Amino acid sequence: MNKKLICVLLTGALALSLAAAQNFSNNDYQKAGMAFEKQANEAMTAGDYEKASELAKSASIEYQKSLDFANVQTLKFKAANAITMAQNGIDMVTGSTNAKKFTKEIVKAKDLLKEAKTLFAAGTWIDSRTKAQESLAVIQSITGTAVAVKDNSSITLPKYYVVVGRSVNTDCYWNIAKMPEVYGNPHLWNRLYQANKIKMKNPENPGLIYPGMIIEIPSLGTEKRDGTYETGKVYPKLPE
Amino acid sequence: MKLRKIRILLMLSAVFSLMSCASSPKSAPAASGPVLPDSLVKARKAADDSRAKALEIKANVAAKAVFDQGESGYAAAAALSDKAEYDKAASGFSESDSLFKKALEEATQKRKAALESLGKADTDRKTAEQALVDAANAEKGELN
Repeated sequence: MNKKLICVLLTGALALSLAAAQNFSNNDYQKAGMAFEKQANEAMTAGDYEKASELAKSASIEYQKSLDFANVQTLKFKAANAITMAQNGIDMVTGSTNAKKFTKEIVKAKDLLKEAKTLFAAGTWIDSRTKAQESLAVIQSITGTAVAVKDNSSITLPKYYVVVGRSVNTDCYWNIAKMPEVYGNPHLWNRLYQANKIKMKNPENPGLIYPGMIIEIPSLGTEKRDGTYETGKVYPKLPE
Repeated sequence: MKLRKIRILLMLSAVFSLMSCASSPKSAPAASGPVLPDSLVKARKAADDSRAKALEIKANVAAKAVFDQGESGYAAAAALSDKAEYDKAASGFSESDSLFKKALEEATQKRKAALESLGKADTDRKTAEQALVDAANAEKGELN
C-alpha cells in the first residue's frame, strides 16, 4: 500500500516537473515561431523564396519574444530563489538558541528581505535579487557562530508529507514544521511555504493548504530526505 | 544428267538473287526538314539551356513574372521558326534566353535571402530554447 502511494507520489511529482518544463518550451511564442518556421521550410521547398523569407522573419520575431519571456522568467525565479534562501536563513537564525546575540543583524537582514519582496512585487527582479542576496550575506556572516553546522548526513527523514484535514489541530505549515519528522521547529514554517508555494491554489495565502496536498520538505541542512511521511513510523530525530 | 543440270541452274539462280539483293538500295532516304540556319539553332539551344537552369532553381515560381515572359517569347519564337521566319525566330529565342537568365538571377537572389532568413530563424530558435531551459532550471532553483 505504501509502495503504491510512493509510486503515485513520485509519478505525480514527475508529471508536475514535466508539465512545468512543457509550459516553458511550449510557450505560445515558441509554438508560433515553430509554426512559422515549418511554413517557411515548406515555401522554400516549393520555390516560393519570398514567402519563405517573410515567414522565417516572422519566426525570428516570435523566437525573440520567447527569448524575452524566458529571460524575464529566469530573472523572476532567480529573485524568488534568492528571497527563499534569505528567508530560510533568517528563519534558521531566528529559531536558533543564539538568536538574541544577533538581533541587530537579523533586523538588518529582515529589512533587506522586506525591500527584496517589495521590489519583487513591483516586478524589478534584478534589484529584488540583489537585495535578497544582501540579506542572505548578512545572515551568512553570522551563521558560522549563530547556527552550529551539524553533520546530519546519516539521518534520513521524509521528503513528502500529505496534508491531512482534522476538526481539531488541523494541518498548517506551522504545525507541519513543528513535527519532529519535519523540522521540529514551527518557526521554520516559511521554508515549507516557499518550497510549496507554486503548487498552491492561492500562492499568496500560506494559510490555505488543503487535505491531500503533497508538501515537499526541503532539507534543513545535511540530513537526507526520502519517501513520504508515514504515521506511526519511527524516524530518527534531528539534533537540536 | 537432267537432275544435275537442274541443280546447277538452281545454284546459279540463288547466286544471282543474292547479288541482286546486295546491290539494291536498302531503303529510301527519310524525308528531312529544311536546313535551319546555325544562328537559329544556337539561339534556341541557349534558350533551352537557360530555361532548364531556371527551372532547376524553381525560377518558374520564385521569379514567375519574368520566367513567364521568357516562356511566351520562346513559344512565339518557335511559331516564327515553323513559319520559316528564321531571323525573327532567332531574335525571339535570344530574348527568351535573356529572360530565362534574368529569372534565374532573380530566383538565385531570393533563394539566398530566404536561406539567410531561415538560418537566422534556426539560430534564434536554438537561443530561445536554451533560455527556456535556463528558465526551467531557475524555477527548480538550479541557477542562482
